[in-house]
Amino acid sequence: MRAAAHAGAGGVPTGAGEASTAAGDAIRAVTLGLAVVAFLLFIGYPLCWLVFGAVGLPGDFSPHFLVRALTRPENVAALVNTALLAIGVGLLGIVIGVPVAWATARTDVPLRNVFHALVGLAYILPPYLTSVAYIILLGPNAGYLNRLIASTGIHGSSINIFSAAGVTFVIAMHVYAIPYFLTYGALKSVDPSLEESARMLGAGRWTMLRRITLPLVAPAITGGALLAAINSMALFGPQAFLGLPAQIVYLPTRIYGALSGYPPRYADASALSIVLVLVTVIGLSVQRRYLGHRSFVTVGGRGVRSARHALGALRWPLALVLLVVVALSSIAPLAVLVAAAFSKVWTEPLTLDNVTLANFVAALADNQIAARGVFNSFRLAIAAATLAMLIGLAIAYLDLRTRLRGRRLLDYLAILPLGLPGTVLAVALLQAFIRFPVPIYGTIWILLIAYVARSMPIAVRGANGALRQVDVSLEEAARVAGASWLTTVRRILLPIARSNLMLAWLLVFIPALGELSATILLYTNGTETISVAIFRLSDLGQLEVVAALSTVLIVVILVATLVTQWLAARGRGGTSAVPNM
Amino acid sequence: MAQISIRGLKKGFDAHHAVRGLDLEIQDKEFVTLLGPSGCGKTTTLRLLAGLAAPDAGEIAIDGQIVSSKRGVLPPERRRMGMVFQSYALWPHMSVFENVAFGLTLKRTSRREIRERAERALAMVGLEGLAARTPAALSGGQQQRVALARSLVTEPAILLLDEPLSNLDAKLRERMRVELKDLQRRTGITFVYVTHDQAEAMALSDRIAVMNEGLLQQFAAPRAIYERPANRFIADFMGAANLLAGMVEEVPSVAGALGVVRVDPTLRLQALLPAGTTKDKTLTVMIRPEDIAITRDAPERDRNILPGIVVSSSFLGNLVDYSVETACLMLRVQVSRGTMFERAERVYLSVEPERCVGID
Repeated sequence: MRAAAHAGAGGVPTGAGEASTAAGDAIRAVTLGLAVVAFLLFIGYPLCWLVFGAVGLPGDFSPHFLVRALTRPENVAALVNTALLAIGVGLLGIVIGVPVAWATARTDVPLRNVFHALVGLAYILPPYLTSVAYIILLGPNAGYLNRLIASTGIHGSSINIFSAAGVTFVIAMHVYAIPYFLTYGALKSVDPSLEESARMLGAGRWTMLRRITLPLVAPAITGGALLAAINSMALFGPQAFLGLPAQIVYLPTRIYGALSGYPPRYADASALSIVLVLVTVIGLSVQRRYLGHRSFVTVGGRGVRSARHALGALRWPLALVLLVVVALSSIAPLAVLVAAAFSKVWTEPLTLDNVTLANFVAALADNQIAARGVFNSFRLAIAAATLAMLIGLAIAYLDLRTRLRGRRLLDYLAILPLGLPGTVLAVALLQAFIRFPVPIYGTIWILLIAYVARSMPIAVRGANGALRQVDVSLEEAARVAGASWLTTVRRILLPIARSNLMLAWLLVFIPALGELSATILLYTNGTETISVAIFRLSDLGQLEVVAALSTVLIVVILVATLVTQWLAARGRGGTSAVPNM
Repeated sequence: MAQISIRGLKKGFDAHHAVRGLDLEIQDKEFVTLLGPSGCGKTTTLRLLAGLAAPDAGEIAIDGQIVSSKRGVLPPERRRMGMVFQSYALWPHMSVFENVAFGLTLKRTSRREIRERAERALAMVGLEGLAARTPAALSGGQQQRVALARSLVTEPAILLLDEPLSNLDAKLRERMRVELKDLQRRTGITFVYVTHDQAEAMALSDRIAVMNEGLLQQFAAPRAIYERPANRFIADFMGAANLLAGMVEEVPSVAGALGVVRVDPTLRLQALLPAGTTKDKTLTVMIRPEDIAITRDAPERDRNILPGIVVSSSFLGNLVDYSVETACLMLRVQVSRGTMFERAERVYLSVEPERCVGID
């Protein structure tokens, strides 16, 4: 019936609020206008300053800084390191993500649903927590595993996580989930008759896999690996936690370095940021082109189920391989962090003598930085998610419900932050608000702005999806029944879209709670977040308190994720906006 | 009182002109249908009437008061109209009662009055006892009635209906037609009804406004539109029609009398001609399939007679539909089942001259 309803409206562009009174117009204009102004102030204005900064403004106009960003040996080294990191992570993403995806999507390997969930967990964990966990596991000398290796007596074989390989590995353990999920989705939606016809023509199982299945999902694999590679370049956490101690510098940490000295070198940071943005944007556009070819994969309509391969005797060996992958990416890091959180001394095993709750007391109350961090992260994440959703709703409303000129442009601008690593956004915000007439620089407000800006793509997409679910005739019916625009939004639109809007809210809230890469450049004394507390306390070697903070963060993230999944499942099953016949 | 005047109404979307200058006068308590194929501008006209869209040019007046023009548009909530949407647009987060009562809760109305009036509206459409259900728990026909009750509860002077029956099955559709017509008589509300179904339009309307490509083609009572269509488009759109191209040979001496049209070198038809037709003018003669008689023997002389050969026949239950090859054209003939004719049989077709209608 829904299709019929849409067909009926076909050719007649709708405008729920095209007509209105002067008063109604004013309310609408003010509401929507405020959101647009906030949006431009949070993204457009800082981006201008990033470009200005890179050419030396407001001092002397000069290409000097951009040239230096590309020629100075330290900068070239950072660029090369970043490129090598991206390549390494992309390749590892394919090597790990694709076989695991094939195993869980298309074979009868045992515990496949558990493995699937654990890959998701690896992606949800903020990668700097994984880094902390690997410091505990593979730190030189003191790391659990390194002591284990040393006890076997084999000399010179200890693994040092503070290395380029370590950074690449830890990041790969986080982002391999991207090619995994894309490949998984593609494998699930391959029309089984395409494979079956190859079998009918005499192709064996492996020939079919190699000649039919893999080529069909190749765009998802390539696109996923590229996305993982792009993502890896922006991950300040592991680059700082594991790279800086070994003096291996990447673009984000190089930018951080330019700003953490005295005086901060804004122009250099801006020029380097431009380089990072260019690399990111080029990567993203290549990735879009690859995923654009996804149309090979026909999405099966009525529950077309692709057959699972019976592995026979290989079932358990394959399960063991998957177990190693998820152990390295999620189980071991989690276990190590939780164990350390309850330990008096993290290097000792978690025996009864060593158990304590003191670390949690320190994290939540005694340690000023940690306690402030927990409080700040919560209020920032809640405020950022709410504000981002309000702006996102306004932009989505303009796009879907009005015929205002330029509405598409807003929608497009909103996805811009996808190409802006957190570090770059911070550099832009710093310069934009350092001279702003209202004191925002050096307060918690600049963090709020950063979080809102970073979450704009999710918020706008989420609000857009939620509004699309509501047929415009539902609002029009309310108007004809006598409701004003505001009443219609309040009593019809928002209640119907509520469940999807809450889902989007959580999707903004979760990353905001653990945000590090922009925060680290924008916080000041008093506005520390959980992530900053973890960063600073691990610098001081207080790994037990760090582990307790991490555990708190992980628990909150897990609970929020479960609520999100529950909401998503309910949203799919339950309310449809146009009543079905 | 609710009399609607539409003057010079224009509305376009980007490059597409949905309504290209519409003039229409709708009387109080009249049931008027806007009829036409999809894309003809009928739904856009209805949305302009509702105040959901603003016109590019022209104006709409209700009882002499301008509600839509280039200068401004009275918003839908202030027009006191009711509207039934094609999708019904029932709010899924409200019960049936809440849906119906919504319009009343927006005004200063006491709780008791809201309850009474909502229940009365539900009773009017035969939905007593379903007030507590959610829309999703109702059948399509019931949803349609809720939408109707919701639009009636505020006692509008004008009710706009956008293909309200198109999502119902054929049987229910016919029953709802009768109920809608009955409802309109009882309430005295001016109905403006949009549909692409010509049978529905004829069954319901006092007058039909046939639209095509954003322009009004004809505005008249159903019978007049069916029997004397103003142009080929209407003749073809309003049911089946045999359309024969011809040239005028004789013009009637008295207005309204019969003229003669040559549709083939060997064949002349007596036909009604449009006013002001001149000799040698080319025009089209429309003959409805059900107006043609089919016989084995030559019929009486005062009818138009066309000899032919049966090419095919299909039995439709209440009717038999023949295709007959004549000198000038393949003609479609519909007769009640009586004598059956075989394929390739030689037959005579005959039509009363008054049933042959010349169209420009």
